[in-house]
Amino acid sequence: MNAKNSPVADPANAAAPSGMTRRQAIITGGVGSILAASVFPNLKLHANEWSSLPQAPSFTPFTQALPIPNRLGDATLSPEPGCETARCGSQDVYHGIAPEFHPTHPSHHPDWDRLPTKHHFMEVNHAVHQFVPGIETPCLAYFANGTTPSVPGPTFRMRHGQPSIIRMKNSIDLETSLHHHGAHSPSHSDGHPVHYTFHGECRDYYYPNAAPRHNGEQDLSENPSTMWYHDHGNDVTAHNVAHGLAGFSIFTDSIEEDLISRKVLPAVDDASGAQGAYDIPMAFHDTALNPDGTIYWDPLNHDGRIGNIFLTNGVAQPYLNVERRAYRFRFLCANLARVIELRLSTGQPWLQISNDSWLLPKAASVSTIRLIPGKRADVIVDFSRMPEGTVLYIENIMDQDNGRKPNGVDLKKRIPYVQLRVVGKTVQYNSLKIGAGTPLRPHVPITPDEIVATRVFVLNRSNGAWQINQQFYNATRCDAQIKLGTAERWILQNKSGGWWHPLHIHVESHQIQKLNGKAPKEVWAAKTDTSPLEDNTQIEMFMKFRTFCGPFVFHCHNNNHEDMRMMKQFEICGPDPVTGATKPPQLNGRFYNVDSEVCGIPKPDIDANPHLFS
Amino acid sequence: MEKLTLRQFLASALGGRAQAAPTAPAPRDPAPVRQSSRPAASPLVNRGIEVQRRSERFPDVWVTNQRGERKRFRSDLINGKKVILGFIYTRCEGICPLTTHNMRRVYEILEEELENGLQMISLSLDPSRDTVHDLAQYANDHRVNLPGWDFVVAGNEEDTVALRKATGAYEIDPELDRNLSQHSGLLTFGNDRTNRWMGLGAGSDPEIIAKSFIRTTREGAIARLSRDSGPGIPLAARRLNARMRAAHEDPVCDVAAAASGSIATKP
Repeated sequence: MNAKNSPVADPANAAAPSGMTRRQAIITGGVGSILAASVFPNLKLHANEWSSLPQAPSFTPFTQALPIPNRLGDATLSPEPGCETARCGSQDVYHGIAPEFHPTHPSHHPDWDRLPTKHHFMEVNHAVHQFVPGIETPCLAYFANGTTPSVPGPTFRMRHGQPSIIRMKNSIDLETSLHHHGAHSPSHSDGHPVHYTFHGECRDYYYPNAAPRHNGEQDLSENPSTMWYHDHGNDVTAHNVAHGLAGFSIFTDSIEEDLISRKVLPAVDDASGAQGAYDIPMAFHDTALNPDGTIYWDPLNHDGRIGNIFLTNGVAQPYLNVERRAYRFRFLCANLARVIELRLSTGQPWLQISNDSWLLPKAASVSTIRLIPGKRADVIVDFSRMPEGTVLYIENIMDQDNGRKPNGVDLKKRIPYVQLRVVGKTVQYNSLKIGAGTPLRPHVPITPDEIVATRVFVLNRSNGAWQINQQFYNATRCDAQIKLGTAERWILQNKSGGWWHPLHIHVESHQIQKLNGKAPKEVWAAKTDTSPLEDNTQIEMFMKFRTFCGPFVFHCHNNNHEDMRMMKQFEICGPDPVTGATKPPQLNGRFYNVDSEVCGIPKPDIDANPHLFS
Repeated sequence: MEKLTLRQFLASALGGRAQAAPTAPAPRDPAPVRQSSRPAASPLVNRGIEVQRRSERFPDVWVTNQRGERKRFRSDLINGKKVILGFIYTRCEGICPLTTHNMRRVYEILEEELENGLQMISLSLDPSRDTVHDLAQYANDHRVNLPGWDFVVAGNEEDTVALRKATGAYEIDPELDRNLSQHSGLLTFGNDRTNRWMGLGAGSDPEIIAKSFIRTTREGAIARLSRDSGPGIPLAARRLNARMRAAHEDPVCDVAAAASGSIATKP
């Protein structure tokens, strides 16, 4: 083991990284040695460190500029989405499109189509990417139509009132399913784990970009801002995400555009339609590399993958030049298992403006931001009072060395993720008119009198795996049947013996009422899509189920736990499209037939092998 | 771009040996990320070092099966095979009987796979007490003393711990790790030929386990498999499919509603 090979530099001494902590020394010892043992027989084998990582390669941090992923461009799709030759089972689009796409569908409200539908194309294929400067690493990537692929993938840019269709083609020999995390979209387009495509198959993902309705009108308070997308294929989610299949999705609507025009927030887009210069998405992801440069991946580590190389937008420890003005940073914790707690190295507080997909009712000043895998938070950082030449860091101060849970905040083990270099003499005072308490997006709370049912879900550990209510996920079983248009109270209890679980619920936001019996802190009190269920935590939440019928899932967003079937399936049932009658909730807890039309899973008469879809 | 075989992809993605790949047109844009013509990485990347197959981290220790046959764990039971590995100890009064029962149902569904080299393994976690006689008795008691299914015990505790840790059955907490019942609820399965491995809770529905097994240990392009109705589909898969459909139609096929979240009426 060689301490000077550590990529983790002390911020004060970036050129000569020597601050390797004891933990880093430990985590870089184990499997690297085991892997190397056959190649370098003189290296000692550490038999007790099976879950450890290969030693991180040597590199100088903060030499690469933070890359900003390109926008996903428009594409002409042939055949037209939804036409006869692009229906479920067809040659060109084997999985078809959501039934909600068709204007005749009862859920398809005329106000969904205020602007013409945008079409996009993406392909999942192999790529080579330099996560660490100078080391070419084979990985997986989303390839946009006619543009260079990137890791993270191209950023989706969506607008309320303008539906989007993404035709996704799978060109790898693994299952892929595109989940739009935080979006309100049809079951067919939700990236349900068993709605995966195989090699050579296409699926049209239809995003109406419409808000759920409240008193008959679209409820703009539910419009998201910062979403992300990632692979959700059954049994391979963790593998695929760890190999590069994730990206940002940025959504705007009239409320956000008003905030931008009043200079409360910086512009999302620049004049050319690319990512705005002062609106910077940052996806944090930890990885590990084998001695040959390939991604270290252990399919039999079920605890949760922890890496020792810290990527931001696909590059290890990059730098970002910032002008002397205020910026919006969109933070995404795209780790598989590592919990991060972010702070500025100067100690300056964050002005947090969003939690997960949604802008907060009011901007809030917070000293640190804790992000459990899957969570997002947008912040405003003002550099206008910092002199030119100031160098500061976005640091993770949470220490963690296995997938179970973090060891806690430890300033001695802090790791700088991004170096921020203040450049430019011009001071742009008052570049943004925002401070703690500035109103952002109104919040419409779900009230107790709307609640029609209470469900309790207990997260438990069972003989080496994790369950919810003593069950493993089964795609043919409906765990909760929910009536369309109703609200429910869910009580989530983590009794899994010290493990932390980020619990992500698809299709709708949820509103945390109580965290361990008390009111949640301000930034968690509005809308959430990934709840941090730390050890022995109980969260009580309200959730309303609107717009879309069909099966959806909720699961642990530690992707390794998710692949071990720490997941549940609920089905939203509404009026029958033909008869108008509401189906009685008779399937609750029973095995049920997958509705081919809703899911896009070809029927047995088309596909002789539908057994593969589960 | 010419399609890569599953083996070639998995070999690279799951950390296998470098494989020769078909050549592809040169990428148009020499950007940092580019379409790969060879997923197994260039010589620059590999620096001449070959990465192990996942199974090469399974210790190749001697084990004895319920028929008294001595075998090398990796060379004789893993290499070149599709494998389902469970963990038991014959004095277990907890989940082991369920593990064995579920493995038996998986075995029944996948019987045809035996001809393609399916190897079922039940590894004893209790080498100090489990004898060959105990394993034979256990296999007979559960009516699973079947061809292609080895109940094996390693020579000592150290080998057993090394085997289970290398195959995914371990706890981070050393206290829990010493508790054998923590490991007997896991199934590890994969295909050594494609180097794709995974684990599931042994208490999962056996038909779900069988489906995942068929899907994740497949070889060759699945697109062809999933559309043709001819001989490309394994008989086991077709049989399983028919059983699943039958299950859907079975009115008594029910799961306790209580397990899906206790539902209370409006407060």
